[in-house]
Amino acid sequence: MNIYMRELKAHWKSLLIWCIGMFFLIMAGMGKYSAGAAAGDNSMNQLMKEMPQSLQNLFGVGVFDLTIAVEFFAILYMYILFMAAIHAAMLGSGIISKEERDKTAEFLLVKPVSRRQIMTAKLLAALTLLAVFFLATYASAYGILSYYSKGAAFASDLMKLMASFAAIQLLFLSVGAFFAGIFKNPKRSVAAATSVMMVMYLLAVIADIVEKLDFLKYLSFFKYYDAKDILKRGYSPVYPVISVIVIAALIFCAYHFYQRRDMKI
Amino acid sequence: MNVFRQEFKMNFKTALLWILVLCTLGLIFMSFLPLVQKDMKTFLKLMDNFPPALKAVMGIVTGTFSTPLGYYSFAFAFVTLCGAIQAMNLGVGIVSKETRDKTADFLLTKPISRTGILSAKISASIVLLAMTAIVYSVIMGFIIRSFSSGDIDIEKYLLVSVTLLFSQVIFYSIGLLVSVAARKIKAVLPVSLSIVFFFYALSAFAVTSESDKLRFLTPFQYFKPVYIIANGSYETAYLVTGIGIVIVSVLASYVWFCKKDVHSV
Repeated sequence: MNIYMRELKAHWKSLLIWCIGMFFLIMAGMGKYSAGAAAGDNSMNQLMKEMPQSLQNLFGVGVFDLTIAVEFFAILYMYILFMAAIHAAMLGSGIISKEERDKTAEFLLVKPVSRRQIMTAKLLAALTLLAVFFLATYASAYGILSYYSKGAAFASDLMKLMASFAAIQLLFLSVGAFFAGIFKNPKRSVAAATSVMMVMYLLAVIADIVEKLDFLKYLSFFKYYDAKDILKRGYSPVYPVISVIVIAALIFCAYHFYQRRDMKI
Repeated sequence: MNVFRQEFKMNFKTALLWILVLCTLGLIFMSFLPLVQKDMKTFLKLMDNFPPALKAVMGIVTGTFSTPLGYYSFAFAFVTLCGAIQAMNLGVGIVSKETRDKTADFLLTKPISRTGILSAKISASIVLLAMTAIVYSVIMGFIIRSFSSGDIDIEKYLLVSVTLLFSQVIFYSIGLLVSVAARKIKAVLPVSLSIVFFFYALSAFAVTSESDKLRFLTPFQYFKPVYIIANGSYETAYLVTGIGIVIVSVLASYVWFCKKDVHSV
């Protein structure tokens, strides 16, 4: 319990900055939305639909109707996921590896708590922080969308998107925890977690523009929760299943290796 | 000169690694060019049935993407993102590491003024960043040549590629200011990545229109390859803003660093 409280206290300031940043991002993004203005003539919409899928993805058009607030939001959504991922990856790797970075590992490990308990307390603290970030994002999106959508229904669509937001957070938190569990060097574990995130982001972009490389989507968590699939094309239950397996495996490995490895002192 | 040499040596390997990352990234994107071009041709054929006015508008857009240089300018956004991370890491790390590694009192007791220290550090960084941009541009030039059937416009290619250095210097100066202003930075990556990705996400929202106020808020939007290729020049307002940011943050860094209370323990 002490570790849990300590971690919350250590992180609340940066969490606050992240929440404010997210609110600002959503506000700036939705500020571009103007109902009806983006509606072109019908032949243009028709043309957009006929485009090859790679081109649609390239221009970010075709699938979403930009005159509907929540579908406009869905286009920004990729970048919101991106922010959630970077936050979760850095939190997951940082919260565990920072003891070694700040040379407090000895102090912590001589306390009468097992490494397993340390890990559990830290992961619970991280989950709490993620939950707060999630709620702040949800509230910002809800508030800003209800201002722009002017009575049109958006709650269920937003709920679907936010459920994927939470899934991405958990996925990248476990990636971070995994690397912090196996790597001795605290710098390397943060770098590895964020590199994985960057590579996955690029894979998602490439899978988008090159139709032939569609299989890449299984390698990128971002494609597991693609707003186009969630809201429009029909969502495959395969992805949540893969996600649960991946999270369980990564967390198991994090515990396993953290209990066995030498600490860098 | 000693400080310069030491900083150059310490960061040289990392810079080489970043050059490798940037070139690989460019190579990966360019290798998909044939696939994208094929998609584009199918679409152009399909467009024959549409009214000529519409065809003309769409032709400009698709035309940009089907030429090697146009496609490169699309991929260049991701190269700039990586370059910005490199520059930001360098900027945030180069001053703060003295406090972090407890070498500040060693350095500050040497017969060299604080202005001298900061100048040496800045010039070492600029040399490293310039080296990155130049080597990258040369290698990437050959890669593009090998993927395009005809000649490419070397002048425009260079105009686009050299903006990598401009963006890097802007991000570097912001990072430098942050690291000088902060009392102590425990870890470089979380700080630098948060800042870079925030600007990146913001830039994704700022692309809808040409003369957008939001574009001034994110250095990722100062040099748009599409504009550069179309006009063969930079957008003056954004170029001036970029130079302004660099001058202000570097000056502020000098003033701050000279007055700063540097903790020796």
